[in-house]
Amino acid sequence: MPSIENGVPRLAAHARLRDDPLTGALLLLYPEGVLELDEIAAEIVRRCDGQRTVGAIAGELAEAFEGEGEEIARDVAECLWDLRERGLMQLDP
Amino acid sequence: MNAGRPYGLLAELTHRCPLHCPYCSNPLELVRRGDELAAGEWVRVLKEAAELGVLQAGISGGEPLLHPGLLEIVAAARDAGLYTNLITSAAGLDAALIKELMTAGLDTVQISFQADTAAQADEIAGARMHERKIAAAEAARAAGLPWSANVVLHRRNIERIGEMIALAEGLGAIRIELANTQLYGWAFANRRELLPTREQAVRAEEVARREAVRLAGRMQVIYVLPDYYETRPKPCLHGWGSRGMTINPRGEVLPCQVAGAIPGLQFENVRSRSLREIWQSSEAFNRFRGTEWMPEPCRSCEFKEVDFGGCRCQAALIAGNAATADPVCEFSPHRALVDGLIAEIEAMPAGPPGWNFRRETVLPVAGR
Repeated sequence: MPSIENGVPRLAAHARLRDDPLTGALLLLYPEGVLELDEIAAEIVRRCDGQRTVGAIAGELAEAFEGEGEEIARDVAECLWDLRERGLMQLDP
Repeated sequence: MNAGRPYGLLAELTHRCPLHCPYCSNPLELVRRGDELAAGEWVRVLKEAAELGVLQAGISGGEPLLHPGLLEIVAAARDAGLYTNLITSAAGLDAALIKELMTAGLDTVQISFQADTAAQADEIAGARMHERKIAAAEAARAAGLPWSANVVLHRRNIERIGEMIALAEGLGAIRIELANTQLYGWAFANRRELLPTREQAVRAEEVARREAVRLAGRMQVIYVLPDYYETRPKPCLHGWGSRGMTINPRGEVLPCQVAGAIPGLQFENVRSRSLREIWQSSEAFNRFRGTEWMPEPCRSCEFKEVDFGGCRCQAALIAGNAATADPVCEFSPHRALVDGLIAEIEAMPAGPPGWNFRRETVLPVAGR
């Protein structure tokens, strides 16, 4: 995985977020599939607006969850890269 | 029986179709136009589906563009919050209709391709369609409507898998699904003409795997092996009546689109009962739900919660009994029937296809 700290993630055109009316979880829907996002993934993906960089998103999360910055930055990058590999996130290093 | 929540609904708006593919997944007995659900009925059903927990709607057919209420149905699916995928041959899909569909809220479109060249594709489809599909894919891309390619693979086209991937890539598809023919319905009748050889299937898988890596993050490449060449069955539907359902053009609710292949199964109709009642308590959905129905060797098998005994329809078609292990399974007492078919097709001489095209009135000859 390359360094993507300065990349600006944006949901792919065919991926759509919605709340699950049955469970309240945030869902990422795409052709033939659905991902149920856990609390952290939901916080990350909600911030992928095509404006914020990966680094900025990690910074916001570190502040919101008062976590260890480096660890959160790694988790955020891994989550977004995984979504990119699935074709659900536009993200160039 | 405890019914979970359905995630997907396949809505077959019509069985009418301008194509005649010999592997059509529609049943041999096609629903007549006059029996089709009207748009208003679909609107109600889609709302009921969303309340039941459904998240995805596949708007399919036949050719769904032939249903006069298509736009209203797509809008209803989207209004209900469903991720809405139009599954089409693209006959009649032009820029103007794409714009209307997007306004209605369509999320994505899946266009079938029969081959990578017009000559072969049109021969398989029994209609001159290939160039129109390419134009439709280009129009979808130009309009910003994400589109996927779907190719049914069989002995006559599987060796062109690399070219098919290149075609979809060049046309800007987000995804290509290369699925070997599921041998049910019209395809089961034509199985000797459709099943690729083991060598063909394995070579195609290698190409698909390599291309999936090359295209990662740009275009998803999905390859589905013919299950006759597996030693364990596919986890069909992730278990009967577990995650999804199909509603056919006349409103009957089926656990899967080919479940009509199972003799004696009665399907209830959304015209007379609510979708919730049908999903939760109809005999057809409960017949093979869970693991209680299983005989040996499934009952004591350590994989029974992994593959759920495989496919009920395949058991019915090959072993003549839906309530037995999928004959593809190496533990099935009927595996020899699958091996026999493989040996038969491996020994077949090369030559022009002798398949029966899907027709409205002519039933195919089962076997030769």
